[in-house]
Amino acid sequence: MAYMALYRKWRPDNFNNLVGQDHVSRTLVNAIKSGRISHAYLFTGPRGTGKTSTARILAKALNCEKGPTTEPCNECAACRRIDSGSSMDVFEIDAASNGGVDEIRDLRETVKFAPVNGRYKIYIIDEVHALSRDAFNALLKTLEEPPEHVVFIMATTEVHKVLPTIQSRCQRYDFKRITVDDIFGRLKTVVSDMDIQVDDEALRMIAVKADGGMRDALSILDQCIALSEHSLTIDRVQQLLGLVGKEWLDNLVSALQSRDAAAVLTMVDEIIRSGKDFQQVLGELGIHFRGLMIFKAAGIVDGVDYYSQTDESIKKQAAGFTQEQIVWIIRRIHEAANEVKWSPQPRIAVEAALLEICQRDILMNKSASADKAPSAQPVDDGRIAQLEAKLAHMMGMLKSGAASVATPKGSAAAASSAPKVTATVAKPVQVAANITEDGVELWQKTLDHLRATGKEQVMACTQNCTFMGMNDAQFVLGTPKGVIKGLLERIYRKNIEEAFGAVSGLNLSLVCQEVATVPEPTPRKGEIQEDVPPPTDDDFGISELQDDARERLDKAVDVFGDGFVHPEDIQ
Amino acid sequence: MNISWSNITGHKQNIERLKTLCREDMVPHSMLFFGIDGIGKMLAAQAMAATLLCHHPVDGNACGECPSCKALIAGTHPDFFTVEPEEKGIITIGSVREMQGKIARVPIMSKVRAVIIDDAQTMNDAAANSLLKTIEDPGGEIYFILVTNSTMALLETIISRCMREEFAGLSPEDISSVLVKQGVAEQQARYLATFADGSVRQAILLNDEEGTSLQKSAVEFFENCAGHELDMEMVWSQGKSLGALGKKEKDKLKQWFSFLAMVIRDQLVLYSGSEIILYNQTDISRINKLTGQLSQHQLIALLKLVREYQGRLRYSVSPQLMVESFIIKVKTLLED
Repeated sequence: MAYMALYRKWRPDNFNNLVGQDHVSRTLVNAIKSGRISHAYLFTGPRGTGKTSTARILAKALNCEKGPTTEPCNECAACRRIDSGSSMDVFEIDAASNGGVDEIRDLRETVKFAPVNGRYKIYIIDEVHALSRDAFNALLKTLEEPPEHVVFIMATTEVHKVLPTIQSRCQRYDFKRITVDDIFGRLKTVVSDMDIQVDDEALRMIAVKADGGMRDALSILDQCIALSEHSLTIDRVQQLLGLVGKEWLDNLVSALQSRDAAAVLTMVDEIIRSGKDFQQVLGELGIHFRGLMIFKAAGIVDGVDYYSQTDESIKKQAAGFTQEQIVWIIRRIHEAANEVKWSPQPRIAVEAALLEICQRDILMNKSASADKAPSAQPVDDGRIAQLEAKLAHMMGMLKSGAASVATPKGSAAAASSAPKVTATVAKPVQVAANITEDGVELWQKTLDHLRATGKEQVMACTQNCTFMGMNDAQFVLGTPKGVIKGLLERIYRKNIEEAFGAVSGLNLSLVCQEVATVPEPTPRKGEIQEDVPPPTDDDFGISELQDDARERLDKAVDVFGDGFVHPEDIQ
Repeated sequence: MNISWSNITGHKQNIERLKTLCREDMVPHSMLFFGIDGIGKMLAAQAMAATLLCHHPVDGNACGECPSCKALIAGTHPDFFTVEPEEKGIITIGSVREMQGKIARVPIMSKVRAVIIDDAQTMNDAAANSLLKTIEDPGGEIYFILVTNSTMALLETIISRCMREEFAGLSPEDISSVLVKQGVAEQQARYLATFADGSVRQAILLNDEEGTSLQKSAVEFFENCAGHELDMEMVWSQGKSLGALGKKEKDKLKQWFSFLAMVIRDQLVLYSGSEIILYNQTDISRINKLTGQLSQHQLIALLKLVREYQGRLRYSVSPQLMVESFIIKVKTLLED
């Protein structure tokens, strides 16, 4: 005898074993007790909720030798024949394979003969939605007024495909998805019978994964047991189900929370390498955020998650997002899950979604105010940042002698809109402008070192930069306008400084300076351009301006650019 | 046909699991192998069927010498059936009925019978429905292995009746080793593997001059974007050339968009500072040069646009109009 799948072996064989469908079994039991057997039943509901099983139980209950009884004995000849499918009175018809009008006509012919050795002649028509239109119509009259000894039981997952005229002739029973707790309980019965050590946690995970279908639950359990000797742990189940694991999820959520794109991408790479399915990853992430959302709204953990969450950790994670953000994130995750289904590059779809979640502040604002030009914001930010940089740089130069470098009040207001950039710019920049042959050579070596150690990403950034000089504490890089400077300072600073240190043996810190046009990389000896001395305070008298005047100046600079010309030059 | 597990690259864990099932004689009567195209699912299904049919399986492997194995290799095994899509690319109820008729008989050569349904997602509604009862309670000793690239396209009721076995994408190293075995030069194999997204089939599709030139063209296009060199002239010329390409072979146009998405994604990776492998790893110096010319938001918006057009390409559209509107949209986006 071949191995029999658990879901076949553990088919419920009486109404008591039928899990999670009390409303159905109670009604049927009462009908049998009171002898009010209808001539046509229609069972509908999602997969794996017990429709076919109920149909068979009902057939046995009606035809059992000790019956009609609410508890078929499963031992008498009639019950056994029904189980083995050899009963002369119970016909289980696969409507999908025998869905033509001819088959139904044949059926109509046999209906009128009396049962052979039972009380009723029972037709179980499974997957009845697959009957053709003609077949349905051919059945109508028989179904409405069959001979006394006939009972039709129809089962389907797609009741909307069954004609209304058929439905109105049947007693309809809607089977519900089975709850996690019910599945869990049933699984527990099954494993205790099989003498296998199983963690409750593991069974719970299977129950959640089954998504309301008992058959799914049992086939997952089957698979897990087949591959793990005599004990089944939560790790094993997690691995077999291809779940990403609580730890990874928690890490990802905290990376998303801190908007750490690098960590997010690295984690996605890791999970792909371990062979996980994108659907699964996004699905679990969605469920996780759903948990956060519910926690935030209701303050409870409802346990739909695969993993048992402590209040503590979920509280911490929930605190990192606003309700609005969570809703937006869930929507974005669902979009991505949808896209993954058809996308030629599911990986990019996932990565893009996660990167967008990292950038949620701006993207959410954007969708909120549709009248605003979509990408105006970053451009503005960039311009403000550039202007800021120039101003701060100028001020730094002006006040290089003073003890403290104060950011001018006028730009302080603007500074709040781009705090990160200003913070880096406002540092006192001591420019060491002595470009020596040594220095350039050292820089070349540093680049070689970076290349040799495989820091291609760093290389990418430094490629457009130029070496501006060094002193005993710092070395200065000239960067093109825009984001490169921020990248170098925030992310790659360590890499570059280490490489520079390794090459030169000096422990210098990196200073970046934005220059309008990057000179050709590494000027040769003799062609070194002298730094044009920046305009000083005396030239324009900017620092003497009042606050409101400075604001006006800022605006003017904003509109016309910052090409200051001395009044005398005009004349 | 393949009868041996050892011909499969990668999937170590999957194979180990399946072999254990065979060894322990606990193979469920219906299985569903799923994963992206071109990673060896079908090979695994064949190896599994061979092991089940083999007269003297050795430790979860088909022996390769018994009459059953020999018949499988020769493709004449009377107890082994494969159901495949017909010319129209779908599996109809006709082929399923034919298979059902055949398997109703007693096995001839082996103790059991095995059925592989390849590309099961192509079954139409009637075919899928008619399979439901068969795979739930097959009479006698019979095993079904359904192979599919998309569980989404299958009926839930079918999935729930099968033991699911998921196959992951292959690593770039595995792909290049498969390609090398097929006679691709090693350098080229590595280059292809980085673009293949885990699928050998994808890598083989790219392995011609056209694939390489498409990739170049996509990178060039991105260079133009980054350098703000898009003008209306470009719109018409690209629209014409790519449109013509798309009209001839839509898949090529899809590939072009894929390559473009890869470049943009790589830029975003560079931005993030993450050290994961880029798609364009082999061409990194060129990619590096482009870094920083577009802001991160622009890149994200651009990628979104590319993905949107990838979605539109699934439908019947005029390739030229589509490419033109795409470039114009990119242009507006970058000028904003």
